[in-house]
Amino acid sequence: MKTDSNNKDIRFSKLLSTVEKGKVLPDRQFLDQLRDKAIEEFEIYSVESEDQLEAATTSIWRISMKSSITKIAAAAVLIIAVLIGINQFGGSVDVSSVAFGQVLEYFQGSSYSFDLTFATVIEDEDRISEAYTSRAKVWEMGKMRFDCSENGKIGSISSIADFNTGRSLLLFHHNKTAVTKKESVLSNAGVKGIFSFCSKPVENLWNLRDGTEEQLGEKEIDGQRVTGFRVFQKDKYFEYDITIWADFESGAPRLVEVMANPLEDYLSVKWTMENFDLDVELDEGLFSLEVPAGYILAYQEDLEKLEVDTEPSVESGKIVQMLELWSQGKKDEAVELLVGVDWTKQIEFGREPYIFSLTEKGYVSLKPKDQQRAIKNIMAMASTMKKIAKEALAKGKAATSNRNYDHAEQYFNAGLQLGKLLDRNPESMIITRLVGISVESITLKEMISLYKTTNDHEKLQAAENQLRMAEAERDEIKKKAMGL
Amino acid sequence: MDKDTEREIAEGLQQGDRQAWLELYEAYAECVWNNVARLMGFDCPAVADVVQETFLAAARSAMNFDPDRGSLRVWLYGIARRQIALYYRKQDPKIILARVKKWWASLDGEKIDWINAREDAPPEVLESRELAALVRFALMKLPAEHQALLLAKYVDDRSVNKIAEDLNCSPVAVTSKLARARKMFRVAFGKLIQSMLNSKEVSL
Repeated sequence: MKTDSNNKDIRFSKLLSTVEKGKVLPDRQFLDQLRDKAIEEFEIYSVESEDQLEAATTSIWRISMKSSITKIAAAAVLIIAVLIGINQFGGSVDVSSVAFGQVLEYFQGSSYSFDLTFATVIEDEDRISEAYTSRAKVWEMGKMRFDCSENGKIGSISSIADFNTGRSLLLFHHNKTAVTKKESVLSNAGVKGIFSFCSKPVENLWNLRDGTEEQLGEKEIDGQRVTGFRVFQKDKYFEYDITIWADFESGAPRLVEVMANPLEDYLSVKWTMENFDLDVELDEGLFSLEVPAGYILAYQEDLEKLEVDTEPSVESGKIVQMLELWSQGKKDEAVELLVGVDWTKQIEFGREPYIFSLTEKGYVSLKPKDQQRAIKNIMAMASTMKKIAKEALAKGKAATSNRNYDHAEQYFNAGLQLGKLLDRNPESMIITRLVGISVESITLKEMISLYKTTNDHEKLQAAENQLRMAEAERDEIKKKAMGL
Repeated sequence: MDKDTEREIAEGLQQGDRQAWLELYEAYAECVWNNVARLMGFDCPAVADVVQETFLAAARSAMNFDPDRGSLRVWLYGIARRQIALYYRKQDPKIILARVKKWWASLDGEKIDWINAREDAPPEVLESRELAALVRFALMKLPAEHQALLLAKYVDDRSVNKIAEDLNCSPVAVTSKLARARKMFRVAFGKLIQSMLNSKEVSL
């Protein structure tokens, strides 16, 4: 059996080794020259810097990448966001062929709309990913709007860009967040920036140069006679195979296909533009770049300057002190301080601890680096809160064992109130609320157990109801967070 | 290259360190050339072109190198694989394949058994440029990692343990990947032959 396997290996090796036949040996002189060229290229690209908003955009991109459909949708949105810019910044179209020039004039004409389909190509499996199509609207003065109603994690999105001013606005409707970018999305920000990534194929399409087009002849699309052009373009990341089919007589575009073949290990991407409506009437108000009322502008604020409209109260001081004691290893004192909090009084916090002050919207408004700091701080704080609650529960259970039921209830109630405190603001960070509900749940389970022991039916029923409500609330938050 | 050096180079690349790039180049320039040459055959200027484009593309994206997605070797081979595919797209491989089709049709014997390694292929078949072209085209159909695995094991005769070190995975994982790579190669080869005989357009 082993011999058979070895023979197979030897045969397979002989078959594959045929690629060695006629192999060109390394040209050392060429490789030495290439070393200099490549190091030059490396140094140029390694000094490119990304501005903060580019990083922010990448961050949003990463979030949206978690779901394949939103991945496509997000990409489509951003591609479209770029399309409008081509009209304005790709204006140096210089063509010798009259027919080709006619076609390009349509793209630079008045308002129009078209369907854009985006798909990634799975080359190894010879297939195309699920395609996503949406409608793009282009305004005559170089403005565009694209509305994506996809119900994914990132929900529906609108993308608006004004390429006269180089400003763009991205609206995430589900959390009423706006992202702006002041510079042209066509800036050379590198493949890390999704705007740039998406802009390149289409940018090349609109920057076609004299004499680069290849005539593809004529054919029919849906019974209409069309003329074709093909152009190859290349940038640092992709080679683009662009095909344009336009009306044989008028030159009006009918179908544009851009195949972006990566020069390194990215996926191939295919864009298809079709169903051009060249006489569409659009409302200029759709293209306003003002942040709509109720929307929060993302990635602008410093954590230390975050606005909070409350002042710390006496009881909140106890909570802060409790956290300090815990961090000093004084666990018993920390728990006793928690038990001593008067939960009937108002408990308000200032800017810190962030776990109590930071809302989802506030988080979105922070600069990316401050977001990282905030989330790290909140996670650490949440972990401490859970530990303190568990310590209180342990003390409560010990009191139950000693039949000191009143004492046990005090500990459990302290844990429960701490959980409620974390979960009290529906605007708080989701992670904060989930930790709060988790603390509430484990505490309520202990309370249920206690009330069963004490045969206190009224309190038992109340605790069971609270537990059901807490679990329902947790499920609701999770669903919302997952875009379901 | 040992793991520590690989990690140091990867970190250096991410920080835009010139020395890291030079070390990468020195370590892999000839490997990449050899790999490209295997997949492209006799055409020296074309090999040089592809090697150049590979390293320039790598230089442009080196700061984005993610060691979690594979070793430096597999990363570079992946870029080279795409550059070769781009080259062939422009060169119209149908011309080469037309010649290969004629040659394949003229052969006697259980050709499928040669591909499945159930029988020895005749020496004159193994010596032919046409078979080499078919093997190259089939290899080009494979993902970069599988392509690199097959070449390392069956052409460079590297041990499974050594390959496992290169790929930062276990020998068992390499054996399993190799089995999958062989299967994929045979499927790719079969599809290539089928589409060639059916005179369908063959794309790379």
